Amino acid sequence: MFTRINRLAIELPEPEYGDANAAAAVQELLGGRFGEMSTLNNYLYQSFNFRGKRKLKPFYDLVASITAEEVGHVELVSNAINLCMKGITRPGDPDTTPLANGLNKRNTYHFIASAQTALPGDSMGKSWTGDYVFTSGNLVLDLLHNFFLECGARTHKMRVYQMTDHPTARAMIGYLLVRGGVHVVAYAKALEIATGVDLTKMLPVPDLDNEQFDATHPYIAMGLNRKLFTFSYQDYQDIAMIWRGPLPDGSTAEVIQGVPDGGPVPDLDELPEEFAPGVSREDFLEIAKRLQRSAGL
Amino acid sequence: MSAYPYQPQSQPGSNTPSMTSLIDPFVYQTLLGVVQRDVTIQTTQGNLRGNVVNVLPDHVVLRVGGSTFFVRIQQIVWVMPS
Repeated sequence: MFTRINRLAIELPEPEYGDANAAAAVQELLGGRFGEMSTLNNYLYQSFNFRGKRKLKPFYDLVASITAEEVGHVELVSNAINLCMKGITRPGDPDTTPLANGLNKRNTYHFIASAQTALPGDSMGKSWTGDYVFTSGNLVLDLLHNFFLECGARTHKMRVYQMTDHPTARAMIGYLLVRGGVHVVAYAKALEIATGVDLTKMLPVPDLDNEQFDATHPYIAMGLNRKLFTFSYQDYQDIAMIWRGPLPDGSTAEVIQGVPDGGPVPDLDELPEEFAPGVSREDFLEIAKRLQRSAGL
Repeated sequence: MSAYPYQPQSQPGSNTPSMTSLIDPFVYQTLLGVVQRDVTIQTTQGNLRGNVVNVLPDHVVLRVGGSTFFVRIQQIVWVMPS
């Protein structure tokens, strides 16, 4: 089962200006092969399909709790995209082509299929697909896949970070670089316990150093480079059997029961030129009247 | 001829200097007419919607929400008063 908290994983800065092409690039981090929808759905299905949940509880707990964090990451990337779409077009008489500024942007779906908001697709408009989900059922293979997936996701984030300096995109990517780094190490530690192999010696471990990415520094200062959350009030506590001890960056692993405090969910402006939300003042008053009537007032 | 954009008004009886722009002088004059009004400014980069705080010969000062933008007149495509 799942519950939902009306908070974002972090506070996203409200931008002063938008950048539709930055939003298009950031879509890769949402619906791309190595995007948050992939990490989410991979761990989600692996958690549903886990054979031996009781016998291998720490591994099940790890995949299940990271799944819940990843839902929040999908939400965070989507909200960052939405905030980056600020002020691209303008309201006006339809004959004055108020959506003209959307015509030559990288992603026209943003202006036609959605009202300048996120879609579950990648930076070229290709839909996310279940084909990106790997749920072999073999524990070591799935953990190895997850390690690889988190490394790929990190690479994509580093590249999009270097494509745009829009402050909202940077803050979101900075946070996810830190949390992604935690997940890479978490799966590496899980593999070490499952197989006895020391991943830092087996493969050239990808550079997990966030020093060069300034947007990561505030989140490292909050200790988010060493914490893993259960994302549950009382379950998945056995992640502490995997997430313990020293980490490659020199810090010590810490498990927190529950969720981070996060930030507010941003509200989005009305876009009359997109007919969104498309509730006129008269409609709104009628809705208010109907709500009052049904409440018996 | 002076290199400054300042040119004193030639109307008789008026001693107040006024500025003209050496580039897009008529755009500058038109923009002076929308000071204090809410406008949409389309630039080569995108658009901005806000209140015109001030107009100078080469840029417009626009207040958008809580922020101030200095917009180069040479990069403006059109201005639409709301």
